Amino acid sequence: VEEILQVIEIIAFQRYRSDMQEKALLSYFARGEYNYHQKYLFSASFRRDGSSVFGANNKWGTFPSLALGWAFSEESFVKQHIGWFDLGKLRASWGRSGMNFSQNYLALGIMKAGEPYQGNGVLTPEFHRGLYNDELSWEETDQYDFGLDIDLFHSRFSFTADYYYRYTDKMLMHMPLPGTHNGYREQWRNAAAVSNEGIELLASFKILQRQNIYWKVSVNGARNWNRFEKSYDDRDVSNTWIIGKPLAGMYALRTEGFIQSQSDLPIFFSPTGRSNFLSAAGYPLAPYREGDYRFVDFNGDGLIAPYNDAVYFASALPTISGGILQEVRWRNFDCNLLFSFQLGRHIVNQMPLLSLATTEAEISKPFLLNIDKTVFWSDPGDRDADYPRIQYDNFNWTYFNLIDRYVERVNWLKMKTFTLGYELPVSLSKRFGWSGLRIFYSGENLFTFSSYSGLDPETVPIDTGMDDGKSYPLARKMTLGLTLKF
Amino acid sequence: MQQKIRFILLLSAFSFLACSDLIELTPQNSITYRNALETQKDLESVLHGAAQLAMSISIINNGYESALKGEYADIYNPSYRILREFEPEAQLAGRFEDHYLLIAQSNVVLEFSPTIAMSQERRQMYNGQANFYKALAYFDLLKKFGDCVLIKDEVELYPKAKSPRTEVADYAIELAALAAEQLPEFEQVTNHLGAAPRYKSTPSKGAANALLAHLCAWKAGTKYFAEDPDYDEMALWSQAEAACTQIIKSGSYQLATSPEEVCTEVLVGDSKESIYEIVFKDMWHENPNFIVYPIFIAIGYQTYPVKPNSSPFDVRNAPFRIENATVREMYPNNDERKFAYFYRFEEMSRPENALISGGFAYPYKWRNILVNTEGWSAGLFRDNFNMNKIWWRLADIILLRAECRARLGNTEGAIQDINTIRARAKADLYDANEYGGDVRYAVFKEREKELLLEETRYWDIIRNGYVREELEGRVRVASDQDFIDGMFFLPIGSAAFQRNPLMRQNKYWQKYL
Repeated sequence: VEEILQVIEIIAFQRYRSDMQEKALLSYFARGEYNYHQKYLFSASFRRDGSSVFGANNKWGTFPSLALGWAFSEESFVKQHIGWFDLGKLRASWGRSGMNFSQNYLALGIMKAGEPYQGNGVLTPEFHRGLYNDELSWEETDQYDFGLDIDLFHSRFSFTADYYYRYTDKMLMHMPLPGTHNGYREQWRNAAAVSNEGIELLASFKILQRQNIYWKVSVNGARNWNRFEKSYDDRDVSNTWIIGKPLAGMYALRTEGFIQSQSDLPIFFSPTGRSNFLSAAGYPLAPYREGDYRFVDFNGDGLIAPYNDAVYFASALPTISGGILQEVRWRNFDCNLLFSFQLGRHIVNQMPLLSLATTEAEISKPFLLNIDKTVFWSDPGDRDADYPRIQYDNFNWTYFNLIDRYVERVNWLKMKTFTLGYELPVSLSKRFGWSGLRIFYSGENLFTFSSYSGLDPETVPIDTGMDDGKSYPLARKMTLGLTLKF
Repeated sequence: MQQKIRFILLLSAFSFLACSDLIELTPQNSITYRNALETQKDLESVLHGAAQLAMSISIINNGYESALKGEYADIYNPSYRILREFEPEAQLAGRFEDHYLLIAQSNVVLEFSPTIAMSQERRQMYNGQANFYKALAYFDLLKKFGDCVLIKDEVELYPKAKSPRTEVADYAIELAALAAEQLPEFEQVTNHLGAAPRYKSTPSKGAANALLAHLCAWKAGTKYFAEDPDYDEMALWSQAEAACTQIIKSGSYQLATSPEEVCTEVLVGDSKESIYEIVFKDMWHENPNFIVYPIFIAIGYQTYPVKPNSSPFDVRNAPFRIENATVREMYPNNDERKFAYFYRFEEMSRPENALISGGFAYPYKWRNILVNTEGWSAGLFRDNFNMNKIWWRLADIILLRAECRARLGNTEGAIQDINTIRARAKADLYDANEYGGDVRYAVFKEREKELLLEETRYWDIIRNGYVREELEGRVRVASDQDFIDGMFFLPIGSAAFQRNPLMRQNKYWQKYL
């Protein structure tokens, strides 16, 4: 049994039971480095890899890389004229790398043992995803990096900036085959492409740097953009990835407030001429009514279903994430303070939805909503209600988790750690016969500023943004400590 | 220095030579498509997989609904009316995934059999079985869908359009003829150990010929609504006749002695009369999923006394009913089928019993019921029969030959074949005045009688072109173009359209979707 991309592939045994699988990798590798007076830096590498896991026609890949650096602070015109310039360096690199997938025999095609037939063994191709592919090959990533390192005023101020662009092509994907005439339903292919680009900044400044007092502040921040660039057939992968949109996209049903009167609703005609109001897919006899959400029927079929009408809404990933670190020392006291933050995340707090849902399976959750202050739609004209009219939610998607209204934009700043320490002066320790004594207090997750309605945005999975209301917030931890050295 | 460089070059050249072998791995233990098939036994395992898929195309994929449109009934529940009258909303879209799985599975055998060491004779036999299954899949597609995608030996990775049904039929006929040539008679079919097959579900020469005969007859008989009717149907009728004759003369099959024996033995399974059948009887433990499928149309006709805990009153509520008067007319005088196919016909059809029966006869052709054997429901009826599904039996082939002969103008031969079947039933022999002397119609009627509830009538009607007379509802007022457009076939299910822009819906039903 192997698991790749959350897909479980079961491979049958031919002769005996064992976990043995084989994989062979053959590489040729060369690398060269050169620098001229630590001023011009150059390195290059080249590798050629062949692996047994790939298809017969496509086992080899070539992966070169190149890096250049220019320490412009070493140039005489900088050295001689700008004294406070300690270090300045520009970096640029490009490299191509290959990824070998973990499944060893995927390219060979998979056979499986079926249910017995008249007491005999049955062997069939794995028709779901087991089709062989002689062309299966390396996943390739091209990465470009540009960086700048600067140190100024005797390293009092330092700054690092990096920009990267990474394009991963030929990613392994199980591609649905056209129609049903093939027998096989999907084939693993090198098909998808994803790009990532980002900026990472780090700045630190030593505000005070004297004998008895020291204060340093460092700030870092990172931003990433990713995009689904290409699929197997240049079409969107339904409701999972849209070409040109971020990978961690949230696809939500759109609403336009509430249905205030039945006449708001469009009427759809069936092929036999019967008129129907908008309804949830599969329930044409229970149409939407006053007080329900007014869902936007994007595909215009008169039926609302997330798999047909959900559209890209937002990326679950934060726009910017990073941290702020302060280090302070004053005489024998030391203090360390770390904040971390994420801005521009999107999260669905499912706790209220799971509480309001009327099926038993959904309400058996650790946290439930207190609905004292929840406002449900009650009369036509009610525009500010929190939720539709209170009702048994029988496939009307009311408490479906991905509805635009339920997606929150969340920013948070959290005091991750705080440490305050006092070191007994050496002279005093010596008197007691110790070599050192330190008393400290440290706290973790002390407080959070957040725009989130749920418990702790940090525990929500960052790629899906779905808070299932089942995970506990990070514990606030406080420690009082004593370190004694003899 | 130069020597050193030469040495390095030589060394690297050497390693480049060795490298491609190093990364060619054959799995030692896991089976993959490349290493799974090494022996005859492995090939048989794949054929067993094909046999399993043949099981599923025999019972699901809307064959049941198609057959219901033409099976004989005087009265039926209103819920079936819209289906039988070809109302668009009752037509369920069919799926043909399983047919193409069967084709893909059979192609595995055809791809690997040349690579496995064995005698030419055995290779022929395995190829013959694979060709039989492929032809069977296409035969079923032709009956249910008409035009369909034509896949030969390839794994088709690209979108593909449907081929006209005549073209598909040509390919299927070719395969069936090849299978009939390659396969030995049923008794001579053996597995790799030399053992004879246990069940009639193993393809044999007879089965391939039956398939060939039906395929030829189907293509010949459906010429009147073919899109491109430019072919010689007479050649097909004689090919079908020859295939039937081959079966009849082979001596491998023989008619059961009486209609009663047809019910108690032939339909149950593994009889001398059966040519090809799907084994369900006592095999439910292997196919628990199939229990819930309606495998036999008879389930809708038969109540008392077959169903446990039923009473004679229940016949009034059977979904499909046949009147006593019809039975009397269908099976005149001493025709034993009347007494075998219907429970105590004489007694139950007496006028004084009409108060109980409502004037309906008690169909009694399928008798071995399937009951639960364990748990709280032990002994409860499973709405299924513990019997095999007979694709073709000798009586069917004899009457098909009669049909071919009637088409070919060999009236005498046709009458002879009709009389073979009638003689077994001790019915009156053919009389020149029957049905106004229309022998072909007489054959059709004989098939209706003999194969009652055996799910052949719908296709018999179409093959004979009696659609406006024998089918119901919209067919009666439909135009010839409607027939060409595919009215008799099922609309195609949505899966076939996914990523296949070349796929087109059945033209007739397209209007109503």
